[in-house]
Amino acid sequence: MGGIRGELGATWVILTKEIRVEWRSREVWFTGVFFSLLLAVLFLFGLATDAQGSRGVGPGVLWIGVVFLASIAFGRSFVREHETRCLDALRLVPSVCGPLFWGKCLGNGLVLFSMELVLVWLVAAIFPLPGWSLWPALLWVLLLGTLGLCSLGTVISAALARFRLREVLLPLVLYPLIIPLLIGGVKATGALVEGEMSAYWDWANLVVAFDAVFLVLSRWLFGKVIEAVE
Amino acid sequence: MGSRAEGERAAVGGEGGRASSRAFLLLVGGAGLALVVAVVVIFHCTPQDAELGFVQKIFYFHLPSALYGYLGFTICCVASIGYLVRPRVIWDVVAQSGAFCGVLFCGMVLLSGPLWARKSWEPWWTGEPRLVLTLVLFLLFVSYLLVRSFGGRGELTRQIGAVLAVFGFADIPLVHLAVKRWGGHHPRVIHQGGISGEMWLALGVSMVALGLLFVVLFWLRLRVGLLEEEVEDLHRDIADRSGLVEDRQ
Repeated sequence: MGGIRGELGATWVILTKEIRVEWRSREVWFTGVFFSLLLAVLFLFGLATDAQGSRGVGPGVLWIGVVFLASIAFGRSFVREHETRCLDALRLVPSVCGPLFWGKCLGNGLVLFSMELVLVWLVAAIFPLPGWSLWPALLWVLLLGTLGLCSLGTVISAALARFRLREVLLPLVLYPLIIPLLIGGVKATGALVEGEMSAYWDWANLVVAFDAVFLVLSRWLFGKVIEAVE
Repeated sequence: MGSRAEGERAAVGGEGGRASSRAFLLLVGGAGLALVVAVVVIFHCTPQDAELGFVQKIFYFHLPSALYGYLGFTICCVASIGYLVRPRVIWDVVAQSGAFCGVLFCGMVLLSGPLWARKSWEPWWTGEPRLVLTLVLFLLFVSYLLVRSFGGRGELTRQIGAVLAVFGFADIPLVHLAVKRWGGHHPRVIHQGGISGEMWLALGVSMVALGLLFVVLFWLRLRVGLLEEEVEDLHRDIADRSGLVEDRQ
């Protein structure tokens, strides 16, 4: 494998592998979508007591749902690799670290975003979210949030994959780290609900900045994590 | 016995160990004395705040605790970067000790802060940037300590712990940026010029007392960490030798 072309090719192979594995088993997607439905119903009974009571909670419910879905998606990501010993085989490929990170990150991102598309529709059915005309903006900020979440989630799930208590530790480690993304996402969605486009762009741009920092940091630390789990 | 374990044992045992134990006892005595002096100065030598009343005395513990909490987290992050660059057990033990002291002092801030807030501005808690930042810091490093406690021992946990500490520390400016846009209020005691000479003295004494307490706790945690590593090495040594004996048989 040599140069940028080789890296891109390897990333593509890992990304398509991720999608193929998920497409064949659908274990994360189906459980995630059903979980979204349950979450929407629970929030319906828990929060939407009347039309006045549910005002303003839509963005919060949506983003909390996204965070929960993310822990479902990332929980399986590297555990599956260890169970099938795929990581041992991948490590035989020279300089696989970069392609592995980007392939995993994008694969997780695609699966998570596809689940979010169902979640956002369910939440919009129950709580006030922006009107249809603003959905491209809503999906844009969801996509940005998902990118940041995936970069962090990929590293953390790789780091904890060999730990006995990984299912418990993953949310404990991930949730405090994603607080800036969560604040940005909730505020941007809230601004959309209120129709304040300038505030929306302010927050969306902040999420872009967070994504950039998280991607660079995650890419660097992913190498250290892969070194450790060898 | 490997040279690493011997080196570590030299730090906690033998002649040098005895001298360091004596220094440690002196330090504990000094910290205890300084804490008593601080309490006397705070409650007997400082005037009562005109606006905030008696509850303002929390300030003398609150501010130093916050500063030493941040110091603990900084030590943890620097030592973790040290470990990632050059993996030595001592870096890892220093990082864990820093996180432990940071969480302890940050916990003191999160306990004393709401008490003061309740008396000063009614609510126990607000979304003010510094409050949220301190809470998130606390959560980040508690999760680090949880991973260290339940992740078992060995190279894997050490390296993953270092990665998490760097992640957590790098997250701080981002959290700060996000919560700053929220706005809020926090008492600006020093900027109001509301601090008299006696108050500065009490703050200074309190800084020294809590600083000594920090050093004592840090040292103690460091010694415990090094002893744990030594025990781990001995276990490994015994396992290796019993393996050799079995092979011969």
